[in-house]
Amino acid sequence: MGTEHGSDVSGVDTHCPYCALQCGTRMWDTGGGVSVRPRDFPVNRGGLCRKGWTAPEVLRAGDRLRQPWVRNTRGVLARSDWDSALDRVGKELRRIMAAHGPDAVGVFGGGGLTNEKAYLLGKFARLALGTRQIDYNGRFCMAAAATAGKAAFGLDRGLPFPVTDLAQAEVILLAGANPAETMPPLMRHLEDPELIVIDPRRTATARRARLHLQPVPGTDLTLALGMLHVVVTEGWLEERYVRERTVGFRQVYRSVVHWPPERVERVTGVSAAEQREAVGLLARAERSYVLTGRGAEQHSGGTDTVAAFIDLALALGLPGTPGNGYGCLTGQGNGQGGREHGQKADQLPGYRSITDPHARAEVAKVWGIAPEELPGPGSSAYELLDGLGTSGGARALLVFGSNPVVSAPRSAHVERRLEALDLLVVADFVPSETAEMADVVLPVTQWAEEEGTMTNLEGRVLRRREVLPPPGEARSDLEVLHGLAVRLGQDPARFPTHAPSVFDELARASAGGPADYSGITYQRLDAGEQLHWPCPETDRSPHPGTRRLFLDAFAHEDGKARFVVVEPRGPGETAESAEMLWATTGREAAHYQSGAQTRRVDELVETSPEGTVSVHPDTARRHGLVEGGRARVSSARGSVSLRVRLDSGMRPDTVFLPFHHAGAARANLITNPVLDPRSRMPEFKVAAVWVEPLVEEAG
Amino acid sequence: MRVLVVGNGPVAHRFVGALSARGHTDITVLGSSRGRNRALVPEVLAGKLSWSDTVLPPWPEGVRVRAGVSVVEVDRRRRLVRTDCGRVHRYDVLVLATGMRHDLTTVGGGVPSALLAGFAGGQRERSVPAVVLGGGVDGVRAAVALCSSGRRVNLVYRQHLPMAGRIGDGGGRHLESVLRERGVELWPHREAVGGDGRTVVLDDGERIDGVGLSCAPPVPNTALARAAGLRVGTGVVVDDRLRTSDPCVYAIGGCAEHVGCAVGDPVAGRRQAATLAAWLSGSERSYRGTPRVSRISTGGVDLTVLGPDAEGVSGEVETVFYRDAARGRYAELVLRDERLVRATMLGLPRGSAAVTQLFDGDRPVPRERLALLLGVPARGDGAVDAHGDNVVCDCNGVTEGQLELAWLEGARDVTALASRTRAGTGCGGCADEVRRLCALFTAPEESVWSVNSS
Amino acid sequence: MVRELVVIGYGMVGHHLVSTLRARDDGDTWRVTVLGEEPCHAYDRVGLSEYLRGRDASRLALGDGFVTDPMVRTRTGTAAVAVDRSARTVTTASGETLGYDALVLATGSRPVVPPVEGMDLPGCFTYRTIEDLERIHAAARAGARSGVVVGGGLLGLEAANALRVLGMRTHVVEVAEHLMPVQVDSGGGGLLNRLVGELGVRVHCGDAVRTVDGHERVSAVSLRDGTVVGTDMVVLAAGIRPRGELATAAGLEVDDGGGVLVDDHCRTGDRRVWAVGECASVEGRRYGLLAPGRAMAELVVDQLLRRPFVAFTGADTATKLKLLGVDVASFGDSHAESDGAVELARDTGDTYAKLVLDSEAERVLGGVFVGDTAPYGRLRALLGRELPSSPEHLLR
Repeated sequence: MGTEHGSDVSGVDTHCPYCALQCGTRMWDTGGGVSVRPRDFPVNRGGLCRKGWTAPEVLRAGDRLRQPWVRNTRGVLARSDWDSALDRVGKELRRIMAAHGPDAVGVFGGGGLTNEKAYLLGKFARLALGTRQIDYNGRFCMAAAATAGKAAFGLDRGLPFPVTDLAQAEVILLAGANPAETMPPLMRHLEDPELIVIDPRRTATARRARLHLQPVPGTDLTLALGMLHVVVTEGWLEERYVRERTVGFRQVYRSVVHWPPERVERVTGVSAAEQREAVGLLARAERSYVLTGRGAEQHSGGTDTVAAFIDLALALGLPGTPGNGYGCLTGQGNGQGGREHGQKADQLPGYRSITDPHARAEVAKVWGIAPEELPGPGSSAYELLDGLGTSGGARALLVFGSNPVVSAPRSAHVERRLEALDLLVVADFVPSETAEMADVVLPVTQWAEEEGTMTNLEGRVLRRREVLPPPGEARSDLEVLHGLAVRLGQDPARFPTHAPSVFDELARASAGGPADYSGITYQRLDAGEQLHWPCPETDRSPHPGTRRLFLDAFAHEDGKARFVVVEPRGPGETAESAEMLWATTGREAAHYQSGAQTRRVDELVETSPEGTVSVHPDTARRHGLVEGGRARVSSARGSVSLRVRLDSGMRPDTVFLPFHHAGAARANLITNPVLDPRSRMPEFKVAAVWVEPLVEEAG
Repeated sequence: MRVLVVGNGPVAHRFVGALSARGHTDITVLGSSRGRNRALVPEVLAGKLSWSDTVLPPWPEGVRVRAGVSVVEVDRRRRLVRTDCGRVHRYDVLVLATGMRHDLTTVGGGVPSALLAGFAGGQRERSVPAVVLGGGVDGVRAAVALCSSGRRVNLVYRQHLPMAGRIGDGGGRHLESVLRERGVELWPHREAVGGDGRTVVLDDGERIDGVGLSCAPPVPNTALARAAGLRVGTGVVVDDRLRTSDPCVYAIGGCAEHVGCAVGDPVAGRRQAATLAAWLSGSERSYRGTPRVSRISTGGVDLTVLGPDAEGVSGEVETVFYRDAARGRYAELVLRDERLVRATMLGLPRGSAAVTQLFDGDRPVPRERLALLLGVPARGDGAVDAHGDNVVCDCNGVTEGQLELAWLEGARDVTALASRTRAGTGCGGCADEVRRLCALFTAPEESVWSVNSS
Repeated sequence: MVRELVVIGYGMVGHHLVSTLRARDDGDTWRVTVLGEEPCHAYDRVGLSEYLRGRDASRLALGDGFVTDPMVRTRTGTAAVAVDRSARTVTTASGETLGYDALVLATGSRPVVPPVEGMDLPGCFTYRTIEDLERIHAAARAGARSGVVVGGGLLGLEAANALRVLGMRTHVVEVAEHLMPVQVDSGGGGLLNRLVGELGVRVHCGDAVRTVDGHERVSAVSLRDGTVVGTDMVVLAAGIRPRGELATAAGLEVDDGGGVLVDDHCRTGDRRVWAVGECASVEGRRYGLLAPGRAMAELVVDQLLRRPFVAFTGADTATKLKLLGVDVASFGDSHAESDGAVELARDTGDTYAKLVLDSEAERVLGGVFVGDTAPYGRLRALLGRELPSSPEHLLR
C-alpha cells in the first residue's frame, strides 16, 4: 500500500477532498483504481495526512451509490432510474408548495460542496423553489467566527493572509484549534514559531506548544478578557495603532479593567501568571498571530468569544500589520467558499446580505428576475431542522453534501424531525445515516469525478479536476439541480450543468460584493495563477487577487476595525453537582466530520473503530470506568455509549468525545442545541454530563 | 416588580446587570459614593491602573441610578425607604448591597487602603516609602503591589510571621523569605501607635519614615439594617435565598453574612448577586455558599490560601507537603476523603489554579498531587505500554516496526521510507526520529550499543 | 611464614574484622590476637535493651569467640595501654607486650558526659556496655522507679526502651526540636515525638539538663526551661566521643573530636596501622553506625590479604528500625540539603512519608518514614535513579 511514482505527465493536479487546507495533490487513473501523491503546493509543501493518502478508497467504497433509490409503497428503498426519481421529487415538491407555499420546502447544503454547487443550490432555492428556508452545515462550523470577523473588520475571510506567512511568525496563539490532528500539514508552517495553545485537552498540538493554557470548557471568553486586561495594564497596548486604525477601544477598556487575571483565574482555572506569560510572549514578539478554531467558536457565546480574541489582537496591533494578524482556521474543504455564494439563510452570492436592497437588485439582474421575487432571509440550520414537519416549519427537505443525522446537535430530536417530513431527498455518494432515512436518494459524483473550484481557508480559489468518470449512473449535483429545476418549470439555461459556465455566472453575481470573484476565470486558474478573493474584474490588466487583506484599511467605510464590548454569560447549562462532568466534542486525527467517508476506509477504521470517551485516570477510577471498558455518557438531551480511553492530559472535570461515529455512539446525542444569539451557532463544546460504566453486552 | 437596590458597588452592579438581562425593568439604585471596584486596588497601588479606572462601567439602560444619596430610614411596614434629601422610594423587593467600611480610626496617620485617591497619586508620591500596617492577606497584597511599583515598602504586623494565623508557620516562613527577597522590610511582633503622616511610630519606640497605610480588614456596613430591626450578626444575616429576616428584604455582598462563605469575599458577592437575580426571575437555584479563597498574584508573589485558617482544621486528615526552597515554592494540601479541606500554595501558579478549581467545585483531588501542583500530566503507575511498538508518525499511524520492515524490504533512506510507509509526509514533525531510526537500522552494531548506553 | 595481627577492641566491628579475616584467609597467613576491655566476648550492642528481657548475655553474643580456631587468641578483660610503633609492639594493662606485623585500632567510642553539675552523683549511668546494663538493672531492682535519659537519638531511645522494659517511668531530654534529629526531618519529628509520647515516655524536646540534683544519690533533674523532674536515675545517651587516646600517644594524627585520622583505605599515617569503626575519622568524617564500620573492617582485611578492594566512599546512612514500637526509616539526603533538592511528604496523622527528589523531580535523593516504613525498601533501591512511576505510586 504505497505510492509508486506514476508518470507525472498522465497525472491530474487537484486537491484533497477533506479539510479547508485543501492540500495540493496529483492523481492518476491506474486502470484498477486511482492513486494519489502530494504536490509541492504552498499550503501543504509536499505534505499529506492519512485521510488524504487513503481518500481514493472512498471512490470505490463497497456501498457506493451508483443509481437513484426511491422508497416504494412498502416503505423500502428500491433501485430506480433518474427520470422516475426526479419526476417523483418534482411532483411531490409541486404538490407540497401548492398546498403550503414555497417555504414548506427546505434546502440543507454543506461546506464540502464546490463553489459552483453552493451557488447553484442557493439559486435553486430562491428561483426554482422560491423558499426562504435554506441553510447549511457551515452554521455548525464557521458561523461564529464569520459573524465576529465581519463585525470587526467589515469582511470575513478566514485567513486574511496566506498560511506561508505563519512560518515567519515568532509567536502564534491557537485558541481552541488542534491542527496537529485536524490539519497536520499546516504544522509544516508552525515548525519555527513558538505556540501558545488554549485547549481544555492536552492535544497533539498542545504537546508541541511552549505554553498550554487549559481552561474549564466554556470559559474561553473570560480567558480572553483576562489577557486583554494584561495588555492594557502591563503597557503592551499599541496606542498609535489603536488610535489610528480602530474605533471603540474606550468602552472596551472601561469594561475589561474589571477583569483582572485573578478574577479570570477563578472562573477559567488558568493561572494569572500564565495569562501574563502568554500576553508577554505575544507582545514582545516582532511578528505574532492570534488564530481561533472551533474550541473558541462552538459556544452559545461563540461570537462574543471570537470578538474578545479579535479585541486582544487589535489591542496588540496585529490585524493588517505585515507579518502579524488575526485569523480563524476554517474546517471544511470549502468552508470559506461555502459561506459566500448564497447557500446561507441570510445570504446572496458575493457574500452579500439578502436584505440589502442594492445586493438584491444586483443579483436579481444577473438571475434575470425582479428583485421582489427574491425571498427574504430564512432560519438557521438548527432552527430549520428543529421546525421540520411542524406547523411553522418545512414539510420537505432537500439535503446536499451533508449528514445532519450525525453532525447536528441533539441528534435524536433531529432524527424525529426528519421522520416527520412528507418528503426527504438526499443527494450523496454513499448511503450516509441521513440518506438511509430519505424517500429519494440521488447518487452524485465525488471530488475525483468532477470539475469545479474550492476556496480554501486563505480565500485562495483552487481548481478541482476530474481524474476518472463517475461510476454507474452517478451524476454531478449541478445535473441534479438542473433536472429538478426544469421539472419545477425553470428555464433550463438558468441551471447550467457545465461547471465553468456556472463559475462564470457566480463570478458575475459576486461582482461588487465583499467576496468578489468577478476577475477569476478557469483559464487563469488552469494557467497556474494563485488567486485569493477579492479579485474583481478590471478593464486593464487582470486583477492579481488579494493575498493579504487589511494592510492599508479595513473593510468598514471608515477603514477602521471595530472593538466590541463583550460580557461573559457562561455556558448554556451548569454542572449542578460535583459528580457531573463537562463534556466537550471535537475531531480526532483518523476521521473527518460525520465520518460518512472516512468510516468507509479500512485503514482509518482500524485505527479508530468506534466512538470513544477520553477521561482522566483518577476521574475514571471514581466513576468505575476502566481502559478499554465501555461507558454511558448522559446529558439532558440523551445518552451515548462509548469505549473508554484513559488520558492523563485531560482535566479531571472534563471528558472528550470525537463526533465522527454513528448510531448509539453519536457524540451529538448529548450536545446542547442552545444557540449563539448572533450567529445561531449551537453549543457543541460544552455539555453538563454524568458518566457511568456500561456492562459489556455479551457476544 | 419594583426592585430597590441600596448600594452601587460591584456586587450591586453585577446584580442589576443580571436582573435587567433577565427582563426586569423597574430597578432603582441608591448609592452614597461613586461605585468603585475595590478588587482593582492592588493594580492601582502597583501603578498599573489609575484610581479613576476603578469606577464601574455604565449601568444597563432603563435603570434609575441616584448617586451621592444616602438612605436614612427603611420603613419595612410600608415598604418604603427615605433618603437624606427627603425623597421616598417604595419597593416590592429591597436589596441591601451596602458593602463594607474601613475602620477610619487609622493609627500612625495611615491612609485607609479604601481611600486611596491621594496615596497612589503621581510620580512624585512614588519616592515616599510606604508603611503598611497589618500582616493579613490585605496587608501583604498591598505591600507586594506597592513594592512592585518601585516604592520602598515596610510591613508591620503583630504575629511572628506574615499571615501566620491564616497559613501556619510552614507557609509563613516561606512567605517571609519571599517578601524579603522582593525587598519588603519586615517588622514582626510590632504595632503602630502613632505618627505624623510622614513617619510611623511603633509600640517599641522605633520610628519608620514613610506614609502609613492601614490594611486592617474592613467590616460590614450594617447600620441601616440594624436600624430597620433586621437580624444582624457580623453582617446582615441571610438564608440560602439571600433573604434577611424580612421576606421582602434581601442582602448580598460585603454587608451580608451567610453561613457558607467568608464575610466580604468578592467572589461570594458576585455569585450571590447572580443567584438572587435568577431567584427573583423564578429559578429554583439557591445559594449554597462560596469556598473561601485568599489570593495574591501581583508583584511577583503568587500565593493561594484555600479554606479555614491553619488551626481551624481538626479530625482525621491527610496532609501533603511540597517544598522547593531553591525556586521559592511551597505547598501544603490538607485532605479528608480525597477532598480538599484547606491548602496553602506559594510560587506554584499553574498548580494552585488547578487546585482552586477542584476546591471551588468540591471535586476530589487526583492521586498524583505532585503532578497536579507542578501543572504537568500525571505519570501513571509506570505500567509499560502494552504493545511496545510505539507510533513514530502520528499523522499516518506508522510504527517503528513498520519502518524497520520497510527498511528490510529495501527502503534504505528517509525519502524511500517516506514513500513506502508515508512516515513524515503529514506534519513533518517526526522527520528527525525517522532519520535517527534509519541510521540505527543502517549501522546496527555500534549505533544500537551507543543508543542504549547513553 | 605466618604474620602477627593485633586488633585492639573486641566490639562489633573488631569482631567482624576477625571473623571476615578468618573466612577469607584460606592459607592461614595471619595469626590474630584481639584485645577486649570488657570481660565478655563481642556482643550485639544495637539491640542492647533486649538483654534485659532475660539478662542472658549469650543471646547477644556474636559467634563462639573463636575458641576452636587456633589462629585466633581472644584476650577479654585485657586493656591495651601503649603502642610502640618503632618496636611494633602493644603493651597491655598487665604489662604484657605483643609484637605485631599489622595493627588495627577498633577501640570504638565512649558516651559523652555533659559538663553538668551533679553528673557524677551515684545513680548516673552511661548506656553502652552490658556492664552498664547490669548496673542499671541492679539500681532498678534496688527500687529505682523512674529514670531520665539524656539524649533523644538512636541510643537515647534504645536506653528509654531499656528503662521501660524494667517497668520504670521514663523521661527523654533532647536538645533538638524532635527525637532522632539526625535521621528524621522536622515534618516526621512531630509525629515521632507524639507516637513515643503515646507509649508513656515523657518527651522533653528543645530542652537540656541544667543540673542533676540530690545529695548522696540522684533525686531529681532540673531542665533548662525550669521544670524539675523527680527521678531515681539518669542515663547518658547524648552522643559519643571516639577513643583515640592510644593513637595520640603513639604519635598518630587525630581529628579535633579525637577520631583517628585515616585515608579512604582506613590506613593511618603508619603503613602498618589501620583504624576502623567509631574511633576512625575517614578523611575527617566519623560514622556512628554499624554498616559503615563493617565496610571499613572488610576493606582492611582485603588489604591484609592483598586482595582487590574498593576504597571507602562514605556510608549509606540508611537506617530502618523499630524503636519503642515505632517504625522509623531514613536514607540518602533525608534533610534535602543537596542544592535544588525538592521534597514531597505525606502525613496521614499516624504515618509520615517523605521523598527527596532532584530539582527536576526526576531522581530519588533520599527519604524519611515514620510509623510505616513499607515504601522504604522500594525507594532506597532507587537512590540516585530515575522515578519509574509517580512518587505517589511509590509512596502508597
